[in-house]
Amino acid sequence: MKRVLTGLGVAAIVAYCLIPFYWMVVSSFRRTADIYHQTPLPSPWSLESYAGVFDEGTGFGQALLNSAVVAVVTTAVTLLIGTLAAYALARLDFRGKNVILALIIAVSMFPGALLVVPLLKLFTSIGWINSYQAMILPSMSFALPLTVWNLTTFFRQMPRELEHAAMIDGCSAFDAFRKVILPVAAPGVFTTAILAFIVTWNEFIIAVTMVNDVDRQTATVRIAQFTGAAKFATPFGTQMAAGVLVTIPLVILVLFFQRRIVAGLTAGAVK
Amino acid sequence: MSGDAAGLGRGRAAAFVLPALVLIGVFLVFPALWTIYLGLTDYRLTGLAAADPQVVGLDNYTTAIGDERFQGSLWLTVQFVIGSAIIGQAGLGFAIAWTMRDRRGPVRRVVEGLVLLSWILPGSVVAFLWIALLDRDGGTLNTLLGTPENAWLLDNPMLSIIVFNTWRGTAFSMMLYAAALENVPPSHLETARLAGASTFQQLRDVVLPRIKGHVLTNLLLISLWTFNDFTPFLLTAGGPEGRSEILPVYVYNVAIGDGQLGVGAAVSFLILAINLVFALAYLRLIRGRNRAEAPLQAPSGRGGG
Repeated sequence: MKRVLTGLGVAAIVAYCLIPFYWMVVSSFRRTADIYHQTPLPSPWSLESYAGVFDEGTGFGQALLNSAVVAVVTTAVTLLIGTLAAYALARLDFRGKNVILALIIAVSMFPGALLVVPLLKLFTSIGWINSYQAMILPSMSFALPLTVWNLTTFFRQMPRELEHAAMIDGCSAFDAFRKVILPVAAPGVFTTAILAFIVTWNEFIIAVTMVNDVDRQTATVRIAQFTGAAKFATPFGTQMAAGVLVTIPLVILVLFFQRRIVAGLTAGAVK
Repeated sequence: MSGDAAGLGRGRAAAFVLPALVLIGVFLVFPALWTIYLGLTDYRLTGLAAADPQVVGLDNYTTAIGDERFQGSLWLTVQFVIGSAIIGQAGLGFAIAWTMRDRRGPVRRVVEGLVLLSWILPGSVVAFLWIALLDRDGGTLNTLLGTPENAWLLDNPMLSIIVFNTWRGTAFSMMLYAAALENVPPSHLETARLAGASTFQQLRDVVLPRIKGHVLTNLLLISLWTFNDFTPFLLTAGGPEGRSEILPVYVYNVAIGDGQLGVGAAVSFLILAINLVFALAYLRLIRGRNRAEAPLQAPSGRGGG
């Protein structure tokens, strides 16, 4: 009896988690005319919606490219800056260090919606509207607190003898960092990179506010503005197909790095 | 040398930390400070007050606090946090972690993967997903339940966004509890079971005392994220008639929709103040745990974007 109940519970949870995804994928393969059909599988299968996504005028291909540019540049630079900061914070006791760490946690909790108005004024006055940097720089500042905090925790767990040994062998401080510490730290840095990439790839509020030029919009924004060919009908099929396409990179990340992502997100919670 | 194992020296340490601090300062702290200033002016998106905003002191705050729409919005936000974060996400997250604790293999991997995916997908994508699911005419849910013509988002907007946000945000609770449960020695549970303790008694007497810290951390962080969550805007835009207008949506509607940037900024500052209370509680909590030689818990981004 108890086993049956547990089984039913698990099934219900799986259904709750799965059905929205399932419906997205199935709907994206229906023909536009069949979009309201309720069959569990599309009949017939059709790539009409996917063709619609890449129709001239939707600019979705360009939007995917923009998303990739913003996410890759942001992740790379954030990692570089964040690793340096985290290393100094983890290895050096200096006055004000705890204040800096506390500040980093506190600002990581700022709601993004709160920053829109001041940043819009700032970027308007320096002429950055519709530029990549108007998305990249705020995204970096969103990803940095998480990066610095995660990596600081990570570097702290590494024994200080590593550098001592390297320096006794004649390495400079910088060489010790580059040749000894970084290789050991690579898994932690990599996990953090995945998280930073996800945060940036999904960023919406800043991108929708700072960019109104269709050629510069990122995919998450472009999707939200699909109106479809038939002006008055919600273009479910096209939206679903575009949703599947934006999701693919994230699905790949989860498939290959599920364990790493889980470890990174609960970093340090349990030894 | 004691404080400087890496042989960096103060100058280089400052140079290492500075770029990160400058970025955070310019794009996070400075806009937040500016919000505080804007909240004291009658700044508007368009019109005369847009060109030459005047300082109006605390008028925006008294207006907002006396406004029924603001009070209603605050109450809805409380319902949203309790319903979707504290009951929904923490409850479901714990249920999954507890059910899966002894499992290894594909079932656990698939469930965890799906929960994780719903957390990391872009907000605009999951919003479409749920609009399609809850749609009156072609919605999946109506078909499954056999209730055609039920306009969920219009008739039960709060319930819709609570169920949505539970689905969206369970991942963090699930992962944290799964990690925490590994701290509970199976032998203790076994002993309790042999002594005739029910599942509830095992949870209360054996499990809870060992994961109390994690439970607190989790509740604090998910409350904070849910409190600031803007994604429901994409589902209901706060409607119909403001019946699902939680605070972040209220700010957006007032500031960008009605063009009252000053009032919007004032309410933002109130939200920021409530956030700071949460943040301070969180810092105290981890400091307490540090003293008890427990490791740190990282803040993990903004609730999945």
